[in-house]
Amino acid sequence: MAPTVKAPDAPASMHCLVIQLGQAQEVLQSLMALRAVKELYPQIQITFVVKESTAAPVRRVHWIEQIVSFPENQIIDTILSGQKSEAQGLCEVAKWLRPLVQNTWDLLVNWSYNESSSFLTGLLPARIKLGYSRQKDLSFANIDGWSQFLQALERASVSQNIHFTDILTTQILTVMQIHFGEPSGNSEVAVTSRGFFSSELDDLVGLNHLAHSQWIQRDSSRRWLTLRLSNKGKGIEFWCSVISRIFQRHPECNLVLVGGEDVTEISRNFTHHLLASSIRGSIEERILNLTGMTANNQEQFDLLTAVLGGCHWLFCEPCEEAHIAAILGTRVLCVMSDSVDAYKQGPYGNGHYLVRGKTANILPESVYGAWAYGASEWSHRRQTKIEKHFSEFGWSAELSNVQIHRSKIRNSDEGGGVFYELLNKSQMGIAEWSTRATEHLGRIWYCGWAPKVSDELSRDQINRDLIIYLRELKPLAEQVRSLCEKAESYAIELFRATEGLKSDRLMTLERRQCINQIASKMKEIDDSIIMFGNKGTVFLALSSILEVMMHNLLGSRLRELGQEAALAYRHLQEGAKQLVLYIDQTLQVARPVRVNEGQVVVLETSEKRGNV
Amino acid sequence: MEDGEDMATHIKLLQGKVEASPEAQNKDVDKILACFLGALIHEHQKNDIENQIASQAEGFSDHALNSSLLKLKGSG
Repeated sequence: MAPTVKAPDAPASMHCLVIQLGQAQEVLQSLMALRAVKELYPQIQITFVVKESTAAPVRRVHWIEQIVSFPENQIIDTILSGQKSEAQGLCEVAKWLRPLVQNTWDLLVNWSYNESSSFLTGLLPARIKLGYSRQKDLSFANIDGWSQFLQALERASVSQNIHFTDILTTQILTVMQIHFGEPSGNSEVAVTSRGFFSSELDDLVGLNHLAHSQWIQRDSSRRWLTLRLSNKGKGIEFWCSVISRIFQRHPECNLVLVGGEDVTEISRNFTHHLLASSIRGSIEERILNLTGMTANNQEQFDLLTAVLGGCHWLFCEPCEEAHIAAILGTRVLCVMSDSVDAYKQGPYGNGHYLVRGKTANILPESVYGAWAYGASEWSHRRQTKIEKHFSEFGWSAELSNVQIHRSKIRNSDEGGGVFYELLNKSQMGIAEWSTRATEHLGRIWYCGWAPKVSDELSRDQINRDLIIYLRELKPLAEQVRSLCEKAESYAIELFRATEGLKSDRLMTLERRQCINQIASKMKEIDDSIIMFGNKGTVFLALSSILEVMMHNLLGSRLRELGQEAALAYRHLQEGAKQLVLYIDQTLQVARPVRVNEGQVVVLETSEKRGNV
Repeated sequence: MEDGEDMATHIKLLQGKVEASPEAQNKDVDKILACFLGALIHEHQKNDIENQIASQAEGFSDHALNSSLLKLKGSG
């Protein structure tokens, strides 16, 4: 029996610095990922770097040990307005930064994925760094696999179907497990919960806020829904139409309007619009207008969490409130154009609904129908197909123009993570297949495991065009695999050719020629792989990953570069091999299945009926 | 804190701390800080412009515009 290798025990304490200088939704997604880490590694001590304008949610998370907020108003705005010089601003930045360099961090995680944060990450000392950073010469550095994957897809504008929150969670947990040992905490605890943020409504009693007292005094026996108004997107007529349908058919429902100060005028128009509709009974009593609240302000954030946590559903377009509601366990119905990446901006958790499609195709009927289906899951237990549900309303045409997705967190033995299940089954296009194939590559590379194709794809989703496309794609994928194999062997050759070389500049003429030949062959292959990017989105992902990996080779000597390049080509080769398998498995799903005679139901032909 | 001397003091203090880490040696702290501040100002201005465009857009806004996530133009 082979000896088992035991992972090291986790240290008694770990100091982790998380840099999140992105927008509010990225802050919320980072908090969700960190909650999972904190559950599994309770001894971790987290310091969170965030912009002052997005710090409010972080201040309400009690398990974050320290918050270092960057005062962008005080520093950036004053420079831009000319009140301060850049030199003065630099001095303030240096002062702000000082507490962060007091210790060497065990782990520094930069989840901002922007340029500014890469300089900060490069500057701060840490044992392990994740995310965008800088090398000693200040050139860009992105060392870890997940960050390279994300960067490669972003620069090539390629989509994939792993939720951003899942990527952050997997990225940090993998590193924790490798460097700090097996987790000691509870892995079964739900990440979303009403108690995620420490501010409870009782804490707000002292708050002298009209909106607060209105919310406190609401009729809590009613079923409250939230609508997040926006000054862009579908507009008030659309939402009025959705809400009037709800009010007509569901007299138990009331509505609370939320949104920033920019929508207070819109909210008044919305109410007037709704009052003008022909709904029976008093509508005014059923609407509570709490617009004018933003998550940037601490008091308003606290009230917003109380409101979102106290409602059954949030109706919205992509916004930070969708993430807050998802964290609090409130169900979200999000209307989302199909140009928006659902796996970056969609709510995380179980039972959220996305209504997607081209802007003009998303009608109030589609949204109401999707919500009515979701809100009555307890009765039909999803045994009723959504197509039947829509046909009962006489809205089959409205359904055919949109895609309705329901979010679901897979079991860990099914690969884990959230996915948006398409409820109105339609045939899959090439773009959707490519997105899934890219997701598959990400999982294989960085999780080491992926769900079976047949588990998430059914035969009726694969059409003839896709089959033809995949048959053409397969030999190309095999060519890419073979190119990567060749490139790997050249990289190994480079490694061997530079053995014993004291300088990369001074060498014999023969050796220089030999190295030049190998390098030009590698360059030729690189160019060929990049050319494949024109032949399909999946190849675009592969070629972009190659470019990102090559940019991030760490070695300073030819020999080191040869060794690292060989590993990069092997990584890509594995990806191309998996792509061939994924194509095969998709085609396998599409293959006709033999039916046993006993299962055949013989239908009457017209001839037979005529005989009768 | 407002004059050049104080700034030099702050930078020097930071330099001392950062250099204590072997992996960070030879880093010019003042240069990195200037890059950090420059990039922050650039991103701040870019966000303002994008928000203006987004708020003026009719119909669906392209939310990719609002997300600076992973965009790294001009780096590397």
